[in-house]
Order: sequence, then structure tokens, then C-alpha cells
Amino acid sequence: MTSHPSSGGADPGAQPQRTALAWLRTAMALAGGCALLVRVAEPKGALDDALTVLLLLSGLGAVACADARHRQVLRHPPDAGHRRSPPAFLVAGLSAATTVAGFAALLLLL
Amino acid sequence: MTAMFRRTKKRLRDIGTEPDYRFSLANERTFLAYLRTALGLFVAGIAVLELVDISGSSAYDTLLGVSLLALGILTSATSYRRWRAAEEAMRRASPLPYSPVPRLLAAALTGVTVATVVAVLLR
Repeated sequence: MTSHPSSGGADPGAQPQRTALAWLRTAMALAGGCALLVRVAEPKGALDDALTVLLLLSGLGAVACADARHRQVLRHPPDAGHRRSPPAFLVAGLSAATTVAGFAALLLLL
Repeated sequence: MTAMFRRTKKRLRDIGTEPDYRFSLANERTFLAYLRTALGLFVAGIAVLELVDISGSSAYDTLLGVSLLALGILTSATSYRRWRAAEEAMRRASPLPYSPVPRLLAAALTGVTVATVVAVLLR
């Protein structure tokens, strides 16, 4: 059973800060994981080099997106009429970047 | 004919009404937690494949590392779909959808852990 959440101006408390910090933690984890993979992998050809570049760009992109979302969440109060949910393309992009990092790890290490 | 191929998925903002900000943020944090779980599995898989010798058998270590990476890929690949389904449910004021991923993840990690303990003891 789920109670219907009101869309009114309930005080979100510290949740925007927690969400902003969660974005930063996730981006740091992705960037760190990509850096670790680049460090331990031994590129053997053009495909491996391309994957390495893709991983580095993914890590940097994740940090940039997290910074943008971090500022968006903290800047706009909930009753200011601004978008509250993150853009779907941002969520999909981060999910895709993480999944690609996993496949890249398989390809580079096996 | 072209109607069959026309994209029918609505934009999120066009579905239902804006949910409570707190629930939307909680859903967002859950999505990010799924991604961090996937990244943790990736790092564990990389460590097993490249950095540590768990069982003394390269075949088992490779199997273990690939399993951890595969679990991480499954977790990250399903994260967006789970986030969107929950967001749509909140907008429509309908019950949150059931996700089998936590149960699968718990079962898989339990199995991997037991197998690894056995492999280490038999080393």
C-alpha cells in the first residue's frame, strides 16, 4: 500500500544536500573506477586505446554532470516552480556510462 | 505503417503530476546507490582479475572476476529502468513497481561468497 505523496510545498529538509552529495559520491566512484581500470589494464591495440579514452571521458563527464546536478538541487528551493526530477537523459547517460565501464573492464582484462 | 515505428514513450514530465519533492529525491538517491553498488562490484572484479590471487587457481579467479563484473553490469543496466518506473508510479499515484534486482543480487553475492570461501579453504 502506498500513500500518495502530496506535491505541495513540504519542507524537504536536508534531502537536497544528501542528494547532491550522493551525485558527487557516485561521480567520484565512477571516475576512480575508470582511473583504476586504465591503470591496471594493458592496452594491446587500437580498440583497447579507444576504450581507455572512452573510460577517461566517462569519468570526467560523470563529474561534470554531478556538479551540474549538485548545483541544480541546491540552488532551487522546492516551491520555486523549477524542475525537481533530474533530466531523464542525465540519468540514462550515467547508467549507460557505468554499464559501458563494466563492459570495458571485461574487454580490457580478459 | 509508420505509426508502428513511431516512438510512443511519453516524456516523464508529461505523465501524471509532479510528485512530492522528497520522494523524487529519495528515488534519485536510490538510483545513485544502485550505480555505486555496480561500481563496487566492478572494482572487486578488477581486483580479483588483476591484483590478488584468491584461490590459487587462475581458472577460478577468472570465473570469480567475470561473475563480479557481470553482476555489476546487470545492476547498472537495470538502474535507469527502475528509476523511471518508480518515477512514473509516483507521478500516477500508483504502487511502486517490484524489482527483482535486490533479491537476485543478494542471492548471487551469497553464492559467490560461499564458493570463494570453499575455494580458499581447498587451496
